[in-house]
Amino acid sequence: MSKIMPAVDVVLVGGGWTGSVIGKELAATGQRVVVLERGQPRWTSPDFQAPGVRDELKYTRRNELHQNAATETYTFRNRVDETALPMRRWQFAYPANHLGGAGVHWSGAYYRWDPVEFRLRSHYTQRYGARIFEDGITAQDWPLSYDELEPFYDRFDRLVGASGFAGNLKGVIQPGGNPFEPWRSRPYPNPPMRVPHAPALFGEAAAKLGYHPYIQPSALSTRPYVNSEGLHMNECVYCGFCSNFGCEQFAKASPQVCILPVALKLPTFELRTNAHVLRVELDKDRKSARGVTYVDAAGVETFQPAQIVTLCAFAINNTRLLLLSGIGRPYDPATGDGVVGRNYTHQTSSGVSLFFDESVKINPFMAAGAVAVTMDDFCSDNFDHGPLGFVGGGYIQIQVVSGAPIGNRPTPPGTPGWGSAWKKAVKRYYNHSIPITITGSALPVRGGYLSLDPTYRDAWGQPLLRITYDFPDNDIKLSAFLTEKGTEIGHAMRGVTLAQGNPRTKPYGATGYQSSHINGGAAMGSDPATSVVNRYGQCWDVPNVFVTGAALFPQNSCYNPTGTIGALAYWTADAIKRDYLKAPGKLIAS
Amino acid sequence: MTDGIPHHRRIFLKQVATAVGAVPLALGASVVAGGAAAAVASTAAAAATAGASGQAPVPVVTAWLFFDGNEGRAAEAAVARLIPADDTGPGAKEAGVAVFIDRQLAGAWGSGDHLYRHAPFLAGTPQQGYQLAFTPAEMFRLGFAKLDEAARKAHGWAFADLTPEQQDALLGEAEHGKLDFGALPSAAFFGALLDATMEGFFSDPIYGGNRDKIGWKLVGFPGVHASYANDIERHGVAWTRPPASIADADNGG
Amino acid sequence: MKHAIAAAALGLFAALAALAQSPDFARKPPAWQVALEASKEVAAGEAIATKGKGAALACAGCHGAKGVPAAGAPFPRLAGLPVEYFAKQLFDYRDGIRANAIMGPIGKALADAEIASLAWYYASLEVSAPRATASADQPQRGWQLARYGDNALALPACVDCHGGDVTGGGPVLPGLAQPAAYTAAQLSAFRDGERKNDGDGIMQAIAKRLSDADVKALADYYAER
Repeated sequence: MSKIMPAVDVVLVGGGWTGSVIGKELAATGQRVVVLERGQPRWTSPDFQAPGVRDELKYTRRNELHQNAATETYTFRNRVDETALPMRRWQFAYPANHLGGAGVHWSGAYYRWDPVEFRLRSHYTQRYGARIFEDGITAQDWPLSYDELEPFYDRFDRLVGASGFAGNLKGVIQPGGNPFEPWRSRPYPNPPMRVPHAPALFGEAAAKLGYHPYIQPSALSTRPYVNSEGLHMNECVYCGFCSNFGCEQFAKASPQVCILPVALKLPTFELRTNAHVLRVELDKDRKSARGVTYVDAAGVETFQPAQIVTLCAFAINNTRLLLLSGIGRPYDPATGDGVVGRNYTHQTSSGVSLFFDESVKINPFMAAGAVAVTMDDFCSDNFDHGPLGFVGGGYIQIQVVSGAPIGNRPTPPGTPGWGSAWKKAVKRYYNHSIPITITGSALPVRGGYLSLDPTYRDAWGQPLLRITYDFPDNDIKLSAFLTEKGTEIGHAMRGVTLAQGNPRTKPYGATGYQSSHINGGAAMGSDPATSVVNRYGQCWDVPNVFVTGAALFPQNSCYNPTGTIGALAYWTADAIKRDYLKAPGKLIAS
Repeated sequence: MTDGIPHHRRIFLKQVATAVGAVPLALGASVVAGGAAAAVASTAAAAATAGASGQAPVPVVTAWLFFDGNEGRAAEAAVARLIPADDTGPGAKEAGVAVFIDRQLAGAWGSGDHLYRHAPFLAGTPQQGYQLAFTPAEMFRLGFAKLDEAARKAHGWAFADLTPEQQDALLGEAEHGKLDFGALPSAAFFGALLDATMEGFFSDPIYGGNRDKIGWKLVGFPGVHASYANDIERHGVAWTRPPASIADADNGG
Repeated sequence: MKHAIAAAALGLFAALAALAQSPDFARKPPAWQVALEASKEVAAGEAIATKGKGAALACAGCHGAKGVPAAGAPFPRLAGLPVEYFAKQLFDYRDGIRANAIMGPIGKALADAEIASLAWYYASLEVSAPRATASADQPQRGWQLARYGDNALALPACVDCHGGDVTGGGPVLPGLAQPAAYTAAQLSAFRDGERKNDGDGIMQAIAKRLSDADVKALADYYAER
């Protein structure tokens, strides 16, 4: 070590949502907290102000806020018998490179998970028999229930200023809401998003077909709001520069808007940016962490001693840190032994391209990351899976996210990609086309896992994270089913002249963007043989290390992850405050 | 071609004679980088193209940062076919897309600041994506040189001097990997060129392309107008305000 | 939780029955939009602007000939206002959604078509180009707030919504170049809750976080635009 910092009580790796929430919660009780953020500070004013922020080339095409592949990327292969190669051009997903993490440039789609998701294996086995799970699927139950997590979902709702209309209040279905929504103790703090033209047409058609469309909840405040930390949020202005961008309005919930200004005022809270954590340092017996090693802004390798280490980096980057640090037994797909790296999943997305008559103006530039009319009729186990033979579900919606034309220039199938024919088609259809978006659940497979790459390294000389994965047939069947349903709705929409379904097909790939919801590798579970952390996010093997975020997901639901990630962050913070600090050590016997 | 002078070059020479005065240019000579010749070539070319589509020429002062004169000509000619001027309006050349590409290649992105460039470079599956070692700058340099080579091989002239039909045919062959560009698959080059052309046509004019918001006007994208909160529920309302760029918004404040 | 599940099941049944008709996501266009689309003629508007009509005093009397008030007058410029914004304000005055002792009766004296005509008339008038910024006298705080906002106060830049020049940021987002007295009066009215026709209260919330000094800085800044 070139430098050793004064010891603190808690060191958190990552200045995104979970690092900010847990860091603030612990500092507020007097714990000496350091949050180490590898990127630079960015703040709503001045960094995300217009007009500079409304730059599609800079933010979407040149990945201004995203992890830079040049210094750190993933390697990828479909199967164990292939050689993984690096993702040299970054298209795959959008981890961030700065303070606030992906919580700055996310879309703000905001959901709770259905109660069934937390007991996926036992619920489906009970209802349909064990054979509904395809051979090789390693999905498993969570070690906690929706009911236990509900108060923590509520807490995060009030941090982010969630916008929506409660469909189920304390068990009573509310007309006008989503009848499939899990029960909640209180209404959303803010009313639902406005409804643009295309989602309204979708809702009309879906209702005609007997489905239950509703306005998607969001973490984009729909009116001036003072959050649970006393911080002000303004209202979303539907500017259309949302996903991949920082919000200029203080309307999209982010760590900078919702919690960091309060955390930074706490006397025992310290934020260090440009602090790139290399690994967690363990004791000789490898049963206890001493702190973390990081590289500071000047490039000096620095050791930060701490009593508690909490991994709060982006999703699967936490899994990489566990592997680099030698915490937990790495998973071996050949034998099925080991746990770190197993249960990797993504999100099974697909769509239906819709083309409209010229009389229907879509105005795709009037948009936001999470403005949609959606439906849960085919989510979770809201429908009979018996005759269908797959597990899982997906939501079907029309969202209006962006009209920025480098990425949004739809033309009907068969249109050439260039030339006058292309030009004529893009002029005709730019304002008369939008897809139906379908977001499906994702199941883990025995051969799908995360590990350290044997060949390729990052700019700090450390092995890259290797993703080995292909879709199970289950998810392909799911996607075909959902896409067919979506196409039916498309055909039923007023003004539609062409509806073409594009279901997800094998093989899974690293090119093209599917979603940033990459999960797993540090599964939360009740059995150390099949999980890395216990129900509190505490590592079975190293009890003073906690892991947060989507790395904990044993499988992915159809719902966006941030709501659940935020709830689990408060849940873990509470466990540390209530139990761990009083009696450091294993919270659950193993 | 009836008299040995390529179609495109004939128009060029006529415009040079009338618009610019006598600037001696030997037949078949390449235009070299920098200086009056390059600037003249671009201006005259703009005038030529504008004359063909019947619109007033957009004033152009071009000096390449990255391209040499030959590459610049090839780039302008190629983008002019990918997004042509036609009855829907001006195209990529008028919009300055070649200038955009030139600036991008001269900058950090062009030199690969977002590319993972560590060995070993191995051929992968289609799912594993781009595995070549070329930075964008290297790829375009090689690609335009090879495109000209292919044009000379097929027709005896540089790409910029072919007829539009010949250019389209050659671009189509490149697109489908049918041209031999050596270490660089022609389809990879074509894909990168088409991507860059779309970026140049539709990005904010601050980057050198989308001149006069030609791209945004084609599709009806408002640019950096901010708040649609009061309009998003007026379903199907016609947006009639002219598009605004970052510079427009900046200069007002 | 079993009880809750049973209750939920019953509730679900009833609710699904209630939802048998389609939920209405459609929106009716606002009355001012209907009026604007019905007619785009300006003659009636010009006549009212210059000569008045009954209780609707001639607009030019306060707002100036050609929609630009005399120097020092506290009345806002009307020339070049977005047609939708103009129409909405008069509808709001008429319906009491925006309160003003002078404009209320004037709004009530006008029919929909007359308001529309006035809106089209004033939108057609030329607005002078922004004056060159006098850098030495430019209020720094005003410039800062207008262009960058204030992070600690959770204030986005004014230009984010209102645009960088006099034409405004959108149909119901006027350019903010106005006499200082008018800008200061509006920000104070939003701050005190006296002006409430700002949708979900966005301007009221923003104005509440502006000090008196900030209000003056913004008013002075925009007076120079």
